[in-house]
Amino acid sequence: MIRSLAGLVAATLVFAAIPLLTDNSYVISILTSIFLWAYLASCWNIVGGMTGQLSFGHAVFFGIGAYTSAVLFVRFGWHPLLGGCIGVVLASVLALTIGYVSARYNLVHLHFALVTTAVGQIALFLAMGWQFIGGSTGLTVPYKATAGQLFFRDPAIYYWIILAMTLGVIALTMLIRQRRMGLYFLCIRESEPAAAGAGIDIMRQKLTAIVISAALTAAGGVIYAHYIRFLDPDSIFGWQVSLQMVIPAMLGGTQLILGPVIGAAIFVTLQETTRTLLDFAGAPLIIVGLVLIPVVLFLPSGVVPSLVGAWRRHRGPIRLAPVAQILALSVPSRAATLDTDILLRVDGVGRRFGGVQAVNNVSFTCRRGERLAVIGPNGAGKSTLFALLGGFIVPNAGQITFDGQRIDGLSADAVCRLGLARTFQTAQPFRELTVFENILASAYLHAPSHTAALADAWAVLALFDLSSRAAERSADLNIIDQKRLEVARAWATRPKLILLDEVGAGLTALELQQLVDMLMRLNATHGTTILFIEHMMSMVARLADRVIVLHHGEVLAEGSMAEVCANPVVVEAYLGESTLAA
Amino acid sequence: MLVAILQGLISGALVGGMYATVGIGLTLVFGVVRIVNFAHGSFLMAAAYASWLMYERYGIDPYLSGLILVPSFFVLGVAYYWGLMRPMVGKSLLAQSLLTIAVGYVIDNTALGLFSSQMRVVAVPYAVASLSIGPIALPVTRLIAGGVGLCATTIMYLLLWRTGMGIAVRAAAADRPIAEAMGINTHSAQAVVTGIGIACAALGGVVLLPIFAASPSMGADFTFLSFLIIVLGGMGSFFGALVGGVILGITENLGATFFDGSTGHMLTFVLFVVLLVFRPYGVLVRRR
Amino acid sequence: MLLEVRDLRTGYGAVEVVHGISFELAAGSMVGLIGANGAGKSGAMHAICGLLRHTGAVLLDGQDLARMSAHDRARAGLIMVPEGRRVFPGMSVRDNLLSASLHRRVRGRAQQTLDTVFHTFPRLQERLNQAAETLSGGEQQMLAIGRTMMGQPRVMVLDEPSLGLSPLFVQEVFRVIGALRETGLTILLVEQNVHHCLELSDYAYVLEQGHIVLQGAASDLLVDPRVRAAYLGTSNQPSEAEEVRQ
Repeated sequence: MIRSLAGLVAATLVFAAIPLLTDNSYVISILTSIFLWAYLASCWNIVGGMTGQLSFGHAVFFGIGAYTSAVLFVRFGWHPLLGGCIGVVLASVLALTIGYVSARYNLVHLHFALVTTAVGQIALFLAMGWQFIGGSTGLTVPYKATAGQLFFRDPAIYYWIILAMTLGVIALTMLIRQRRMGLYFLCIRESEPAAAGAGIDIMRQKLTAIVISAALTAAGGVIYAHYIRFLDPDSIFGWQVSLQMVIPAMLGGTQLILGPVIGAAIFVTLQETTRTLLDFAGAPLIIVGLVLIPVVLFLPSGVVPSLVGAWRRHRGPIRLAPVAQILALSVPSRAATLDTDILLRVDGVGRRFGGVQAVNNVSFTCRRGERLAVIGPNGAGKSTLFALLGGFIVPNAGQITFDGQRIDGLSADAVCRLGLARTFQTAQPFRELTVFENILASAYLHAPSHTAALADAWAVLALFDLSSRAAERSADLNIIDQKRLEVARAWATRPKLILLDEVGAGLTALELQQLVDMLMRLNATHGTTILFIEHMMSMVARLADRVIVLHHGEVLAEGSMAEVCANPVVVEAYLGESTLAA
Repeated sequence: MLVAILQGLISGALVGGMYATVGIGLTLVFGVVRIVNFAHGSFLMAAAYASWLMYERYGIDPYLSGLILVPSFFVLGVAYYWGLMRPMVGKSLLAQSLLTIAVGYVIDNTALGLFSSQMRVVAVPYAVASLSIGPIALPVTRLIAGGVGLCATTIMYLLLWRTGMGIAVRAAAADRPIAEAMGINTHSAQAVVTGIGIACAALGGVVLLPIFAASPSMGADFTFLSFLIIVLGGMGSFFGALVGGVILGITENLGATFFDGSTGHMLTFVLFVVLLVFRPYGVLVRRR
Repeated sequence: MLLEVRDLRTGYGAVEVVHGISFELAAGSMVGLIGANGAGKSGAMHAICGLLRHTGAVLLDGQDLARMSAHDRARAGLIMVPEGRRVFPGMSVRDNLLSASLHRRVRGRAQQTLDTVFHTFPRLQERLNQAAETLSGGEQQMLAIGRTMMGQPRVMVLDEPSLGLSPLFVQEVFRVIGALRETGLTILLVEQNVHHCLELSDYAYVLEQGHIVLQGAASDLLVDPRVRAAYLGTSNQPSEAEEVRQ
């Protein structure tokens, strides 16, 4: 972090020195343009790249900043920075509204892109129709010889301001990326269900991202208004402007902090070179289009990451923590005794999907420290039951009490924060993140500080034998390590009860043995209650204290493994009702 | 007043029939290929310019030029699918969107460079002719647009619901792997649909040219217009797009009577947001 | 052998779930593939039908289909009845049926095949113009089987036909499968419902964790305790299994 920051400052100093070496105003204007779009694309990338919400309407925030400051200055003589602050606030409020409505009504992916596009168009038509702010003819920001203005005779000053802002947004992005917030953003991009499963409040994180991004974009608009000194709706609010923030990010690589900057350099240089070389009105954008097509087709993660090739993400402070730190670690040791106190009580829970009663009147209890298995043939409603317990779906009937508190109706992240963590049937790691980051995301939940979370995450890695894989991309893990990671992630939220959904599937006998041993160890040393769905009967036999059999959404039998296996009703459920005596 | 409203209604519905065709083109491609073609309007514009050029250079009637242009754009659409869209199936939304946006960039700016931003009108003699039914005067070009739109949607309806190809296309849209397992070459089906979609855009360009005019900004305008249509009707829905197109034609026409153009446009986008929020999947599209 | 699968390996992403299995079907026979959940049955079926990438050979009447796309395999006559029915929901029953008979080999005889399907499933004829999604689960299963029949399969791959159906419909589905078998159709039946499967099949393979662990005449397997062990997983504790049996 320190080293990259130093590198950033050094690079900035080099760029800052350029106006001192040349007074070629063309060079300065091109550089200003590069850094302006680098700045804006970096702002866009906080929401578009990090949280994965595609905004095609960022020009609105840009325009609100630019117009508010300019109009207040031109019409009332307010100081541009005061007007700018108002603009930033207005943009943030709008962003909050858009973000809230989108998250509330689940407008994601394409729908988010279309809503932001439409908001951009509405702003464009409003600006064109409103004569007070210049209407479609535009607004000129005149030079006023007052103290309250933002006019510099030397264009290099604007360049320096924009350069400094770019440095600022990059530093901010790096900071966000190193901390909890940035990791949460990436988790949401990778998988929303898994993020909720790690206790992340998705709505809050999405709102944070879009507000930060919009406020910064608006600030860029403020400077731009006084640099260009002429605003017209098309070149401020146009869809084109929004796209010009997206394209550099895509060109350079949305996953890289410096991606948008490099993308902007390519984007602006390409256009300027074409403009000088070709005398054809649309040529610059034709070339941009023609370059963009192969980039999207062949270098889908952007020019920089693809060209670097075996590009290793060195993100997150991945250094081995001292052994002493691991040993002195703060994972609380829980009572290992199997007491009879009830941790989870499921009472008459039912859930219907359309005409199908997936879970019907299911009641059972689970004691603290117990290892309880849920088995049953395909389609018995086991996974639905887990989704109900984890807060991913709401039951139609019945209640669920966990640790003395009603949890039916709570959201998944709230349930997780109460101490009920789950794994997913098909492992859902945050694929593009490292193994360490996957666990860190969960470790943040109850850690008092960033350092504590790091230490916790290392401890969990060690506990699950994943230390050597810490820096690997989780999508690249083999199956046993993916399963371990899935359990480790749930474990890192320090749950009282852990729901394991078919963690044994696809493992060899040896791997299964390792997994069972590990779970037994966790259960014994930390007293964590384990509730698991499993088809691997050998695993059930070894791990479970007690077994519940589900069939057609109902509890068919309950008891020890030997008891349920001897139960003819269970055998029939598994092997099918037979006309022959088995 | 009543006559003005009636006039606006009918004349709007006539253009709306053509809008519906254009919207169906976009919605079909989205429904089957699952990629939003942000260059849809650009293809429409390209066809409009091609038609204008044929009129200017060779005096070919714009409607006649459609006979050449629509099939050529079908071929172009098939090539577009195989060359650019197919590699993007299953890629990120950002990548898919930027690919089609880039294609739109190339088309729009080529038009800008070749023809400048000037409006290009075809000065056909019948451009100002109109048919009077009582107090209502209906421009011939609009009548033709309505008629062609009706024919085109009928043909597409028959194609989709009364032929084997239609079954293949709908099956591929509903469940691509299972359609494959039933012996349907889903890539060919998607290519054909993309061809039809682009051909619809081209038809729109040709037929609307005598009513409006060709300009480079027409591309983005019609892309947004098509989005409005398919959001109105529910994304991916054929009948939704049909209804959406007619509604949009009427509101646009009536809006122009009562508001100035940009207020009318803005209101349609407000409607767009409201619909996206409250009826995001429209009436018909199925989400698995 | 009509269908011969050799050393089939497949999986999802980087995860291999089927580790080199081989099996074969004689023309006119019915072969069962059984195994507990997660044993890799579905993966194997998707692979031989071309819906999952795989290695190994899939020979239909001596012709290797391994490099063919899914639709070419279906056109060659290897057609599946997918797990969970997967009928095309918004399309009518008629269109669902016709969707499998669009290719050249069977197009001309579509009408006759349709009559055969209606003969087998009179209910489908009654609901011809109804949207498939409005059918009950059992009717959808009939539609899924009927749809595959429309493609005139040389080998019909039935993937978990009883899954999620009420007991009454399970009986009905297996009755139909029995009847199809009587017509001389070659069937590969993948089923959790061991007894039904083994009662109908001539020969069966037991799949466990992506390997074939047991095979034999269905009548032998029906009484083999190891089959039960493969399901209830007591194979690792034979003594306990013995206890349970007593």
